[in-house]
Amino acid sequence: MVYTLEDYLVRLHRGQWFGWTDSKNKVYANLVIHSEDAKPTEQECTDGVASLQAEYDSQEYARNRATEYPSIGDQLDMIFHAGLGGDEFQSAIQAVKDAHPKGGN
Amino acid sequence: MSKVKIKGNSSGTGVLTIEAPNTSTDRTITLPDATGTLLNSDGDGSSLTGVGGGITEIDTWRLHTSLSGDARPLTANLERDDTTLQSFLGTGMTESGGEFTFPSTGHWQITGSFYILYNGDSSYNTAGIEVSTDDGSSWTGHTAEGVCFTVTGGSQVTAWVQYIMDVTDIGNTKVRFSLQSAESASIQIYASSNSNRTAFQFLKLGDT
Repeated sequence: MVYTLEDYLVRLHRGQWFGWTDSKNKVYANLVIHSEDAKPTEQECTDGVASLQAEYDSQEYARNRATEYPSIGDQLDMIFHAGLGGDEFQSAIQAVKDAHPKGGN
Repeated sequence: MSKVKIKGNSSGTGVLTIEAPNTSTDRTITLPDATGTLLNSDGDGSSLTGVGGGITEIDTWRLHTSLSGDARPLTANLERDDTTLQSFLGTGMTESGGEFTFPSTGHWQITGSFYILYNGDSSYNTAGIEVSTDDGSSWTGHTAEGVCFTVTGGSQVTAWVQYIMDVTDIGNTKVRFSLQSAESASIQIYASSNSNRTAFQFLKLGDT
């Protein structure tokens, strides 16, 4: 994902506080302010976009992990079958399994 | 063999003339196998039945700039759809400060859709169409609503709303659009100048 100037401005204040003189060319020179909010400087905008991008890029590993982790259900199943859930966890899961045995009617 | 009979009217004195055009090609005009009155070239068709008037106005507007929070109502950053091959028919709506004015009276179908991004949970989000009958001095609440309930952070949804209204006074009738959220800080209304993410359509279905 590549962040834009609009992505930064949207996060700066709530509501329709800004717009563009040319909606097809959303650059700082075309930025207009609809509200009484102060117009950020071009440098503030440049820094803001860079900050958003850096934050996003720094989380790439987390996004990659999230897509590759087993489902939460599968992870809990692994914990149970490894006997690592602790007494309360293990007994609660086992109680359900005992109440509904595999192959039972 | 059927026959063609031309019958005069004993009450009138005018002379009706069937006139040939300046042509060298043979033509045949087939009369309808029905009883009725033929429509002439300057008739308005009002005596005909079973003939639909058709849609005479199509206009689409959209929000071109995203915003954080809800909009009660939208007041800026609206533009007419100019995406490739978009439909536009008739005169079109006029917009100022988020308020839309109709070009002519009639039965109008109005549709609004809001593309919403959630950075947190939100219990409800309501898209609405508001109407003024006094040139924008006062407004109804939502005359139509579309709701997204219990949306969790990270979701992207569209809230959709539609209203068909009989516009009889174009000088005083206006509409505008709003989105109300229970957790305004959690949402962003997503917009674009290249596609209709948050957009509003106006169709004139027929005369009033």
